[in-house]
Amino acid sequence: MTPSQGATDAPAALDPVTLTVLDNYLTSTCRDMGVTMMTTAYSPIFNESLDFSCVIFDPRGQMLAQAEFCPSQIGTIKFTVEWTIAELGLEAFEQGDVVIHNDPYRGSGHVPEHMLLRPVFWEGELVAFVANVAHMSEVGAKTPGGLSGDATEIFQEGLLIPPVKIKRRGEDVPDIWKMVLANHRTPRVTYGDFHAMMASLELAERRLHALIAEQGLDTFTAGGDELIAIAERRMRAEIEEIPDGVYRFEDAIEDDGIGEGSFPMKLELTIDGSEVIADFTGSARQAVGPVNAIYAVTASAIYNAFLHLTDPTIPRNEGCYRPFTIVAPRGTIVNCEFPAPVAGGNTETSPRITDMVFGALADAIPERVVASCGGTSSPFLFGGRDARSGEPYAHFHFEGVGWGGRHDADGNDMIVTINGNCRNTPVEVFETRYPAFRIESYRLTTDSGGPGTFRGGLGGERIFTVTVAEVTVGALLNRMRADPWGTLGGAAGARGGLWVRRAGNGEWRTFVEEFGTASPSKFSGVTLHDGDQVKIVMPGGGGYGDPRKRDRERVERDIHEGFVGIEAAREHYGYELERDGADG
Amino acid sequence: MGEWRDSEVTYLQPYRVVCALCGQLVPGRYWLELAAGEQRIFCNPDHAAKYESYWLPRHGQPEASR
Repeated sequence: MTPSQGATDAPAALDPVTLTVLDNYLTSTCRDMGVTMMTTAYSPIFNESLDFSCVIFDPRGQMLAQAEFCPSQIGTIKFTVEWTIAELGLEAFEQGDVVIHNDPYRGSGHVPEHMLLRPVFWEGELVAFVANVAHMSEVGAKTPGGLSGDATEIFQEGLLIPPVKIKRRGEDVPDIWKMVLANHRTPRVTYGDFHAMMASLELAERRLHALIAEQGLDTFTAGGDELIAIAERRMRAEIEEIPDGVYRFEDAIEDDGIGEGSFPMKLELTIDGSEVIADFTGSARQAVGPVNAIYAVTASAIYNAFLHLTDPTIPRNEGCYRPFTIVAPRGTIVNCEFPAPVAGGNTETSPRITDMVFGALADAIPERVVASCGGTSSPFLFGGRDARSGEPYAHFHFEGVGWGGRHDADGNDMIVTINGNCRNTPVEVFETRYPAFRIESYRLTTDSGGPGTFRGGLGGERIFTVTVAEVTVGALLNRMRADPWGTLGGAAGARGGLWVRRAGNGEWRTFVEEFGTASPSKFSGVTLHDGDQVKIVMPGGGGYGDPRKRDRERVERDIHEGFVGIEAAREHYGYELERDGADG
Repeated sequence: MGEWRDSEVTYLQPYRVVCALCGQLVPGRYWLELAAGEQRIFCNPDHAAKYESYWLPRHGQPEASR
């Protein structure tokens, strides 16, 4: 299907072929922006994890195109750009400028995610913005790695940068560079990663210039408007296929790293023709700890869910988002007030919200939804000083989780959670870049996928050993106390866990037991020493449908592969009972 | 009928006004309209309309107005 399909009932300024070429050109430009960042950045969170996104906007702040990178960023960047234009004003932009911005209370996802924005001029006229947003691995928070699992204010989460120019008319603005680099523990890495981002913007500017030179500015401008209109029409047509109604679902964030007690989230989803209202009224008050989502993150999670539920060939631009109204009461966990900490809102609360949409719509569109994924980005943060070079280092380490089963397939095993679309860091890169750890084992966990006609994907387990005198670690994980739920008769996936074993001690203990942290999975500033070990267990995905209806060949294959143990096969799938009956 | 207003931003007060329907901080211009007996701030006229058509029937008058 081409982007212009579904648009035949509207007056078309441009023919479908031209529109399709334009859409593909803009999208491939965004993809190439990402490749530039991947291949030129300093940090593994860029060139291995791909924790960034690349977009093109028109001068009104409407998104024209995006690439398939990090869903949570792609939704939030719409807000970040809108704030930037509102705060600076269009007249403030000049050719060669680059604006930097990471303030969550001005639309950024969380503090580590920095947006760089470059205006694109053609014959003196502002014709577009190109932008990328990327997760910096070190931002000067209270602990190395940026995500402080026990932060109580956003000021503990790193340096806040309102929209300011880091380049003006093509020249560095030294005051801004000095200010930023003085506040990051790893300034050399920040410097390199920012330049990778700027190279990506320059590539996009060259591509847009080439496009306009060939097709003309009028075609570019009119085509952008038409692609947005097409995306809106096609998204509305998809929504109209969902039965009208009010659908509800509840879930919770299990703890905030500070105190006991969970934080319920309530979603009431109204489908009314081609409109969607996602209403979170009744959700918990904002947490003291860093599990709060800002409005942009909550909205982005809703967009993400519907992009999963609808035709993937719809052009990914502003039009996709127009049918949605997100009601998120101020002061709640889904729309917190300044200066609440927000680091985990983007990594933990976001996937929970996306899954809640699937849960709410399970009965309405069972062939489209999935069960809960493992629902945590599994952030494990660490930092120290490399004895080999004397250089400081810091890293945000991802892990995958099991994804939920769906109507015709098992969930994916150990894929980074649904809001991230990122990759973990390969063992070889991890050990080479960060001398602090040696990976002892890394494997899928038997029986971690929720039983179902189509079972949840498997979670996993990683054990690593500290190999330096000391390293500072932190964590911000979920689904350690609450199950990744199954759907439509499927059962829950296995929970995750986090343990430490001190050198010379054979016992695995929680961080609460060993270090007195408030939470077993959300903390910061813990010092480990040579020979200490950490074990991270990643949650599995929920199952889809009645496990007793699972195809026998699938059960046998799971047993053969070691994905499901014989005891679990007997308990959940009735495996031996059926065989005994057949034999008898 | 409502009207567009510009929110004043200063170095000391950069955080803007909040939409009465969706709860979003509104950057730049906001829409001011009489709704449920009070002048209320919205992102845009569409949110003002949804406040009448969706919010009030579903949730009733906000507490401050009762």
